[in-house]
Amino acid sequence: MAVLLLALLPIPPKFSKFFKADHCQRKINADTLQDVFELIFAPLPEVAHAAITIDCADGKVRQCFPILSAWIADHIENVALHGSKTNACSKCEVPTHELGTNAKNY
Amino acid sequence: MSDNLGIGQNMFHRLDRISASDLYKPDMLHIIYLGLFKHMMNWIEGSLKKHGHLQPFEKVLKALPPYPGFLVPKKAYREVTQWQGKEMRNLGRCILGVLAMALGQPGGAQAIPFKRALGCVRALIDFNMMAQYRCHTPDTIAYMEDYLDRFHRMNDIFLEFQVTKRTQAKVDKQRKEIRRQRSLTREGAAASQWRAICDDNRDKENELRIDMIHGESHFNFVKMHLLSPFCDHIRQFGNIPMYSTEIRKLAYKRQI
Repeated sequence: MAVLLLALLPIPPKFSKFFKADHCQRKINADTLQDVFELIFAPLPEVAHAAITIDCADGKVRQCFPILSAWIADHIENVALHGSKTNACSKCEVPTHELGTNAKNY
Repeated sequence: MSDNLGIGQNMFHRLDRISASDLYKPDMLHIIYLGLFKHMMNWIEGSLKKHGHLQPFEKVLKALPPYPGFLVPKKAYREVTQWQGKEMRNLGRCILGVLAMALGQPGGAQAIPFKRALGCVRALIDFNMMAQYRCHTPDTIAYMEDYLDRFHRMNDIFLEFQVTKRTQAKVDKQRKEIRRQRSLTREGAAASQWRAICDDNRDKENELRIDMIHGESHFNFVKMHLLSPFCDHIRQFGNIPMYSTEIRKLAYKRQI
């Protein structure tokens, strides 16, 4: 697996007893993250529509439509990215009171 | 669904040809090692303490011999304050045997809870072991589903040790209230009478405490649910270890 560092995300100061989590600050944090991601993702929509040629491992050159296919992150990062609540699953719509059951049909 | 939404938008909504929910990858390091294993150790510690088996457990853990691929824990169990992913994985390898040794041959009333506790731990460990497989067949996925199902069915034995801070605060408040009422009746009671009242009250207090913990505790926290997508994820995208955050953490350490 090849890993390439694209960007380091800005981390807002933590909310604490002295630095209350008000709605405005949260909104600013979310918007900042959104802008940064727009910057990172900027080349993606173009290449997803117009094909580019990429060298393949078998020596041929292939026409590709690269898309974002996986995002590896821990739960808190996923929450920030998907804009969901801390006790919500990032994959499905399971309600909070059924988190402890083995529910699969969401 | 609307009550699951937080502030801000989903970052992936504006991208083309992408399903945001498919971007999510299960992550063994945080969900299993640092998440459920940690909870499991708390439950095990609680139940060992309750049944007075904590000493044998630590003794067995200390006596573990070295083995290729297995790191012997250097410290005693209670001395470790912060568990790392690697240590938790090591613990996962030996915990089942250690626990079985520590519980030994229980007699009478202890036999059933011990069996259930062992079964629950075993289901989680087996699930973890199978999740580490690099390739799967329908059979192995069926096994994983079975283990997960068994884990969810048997974990009620540990319910009383899954006490949240809120429940603990409620229990403390209740105890304070009982003590306050008891001290009101102190006036004019003889010493022996008073002791009888105290003993009587203590039993009642314990009963109420256990009732409350059983009523309030639940397993509805998010890591519990995050095991469920594992099997479907394997069917769709392949094995789990290649998506673990551990790899990425090691990779970008070098690049920064």
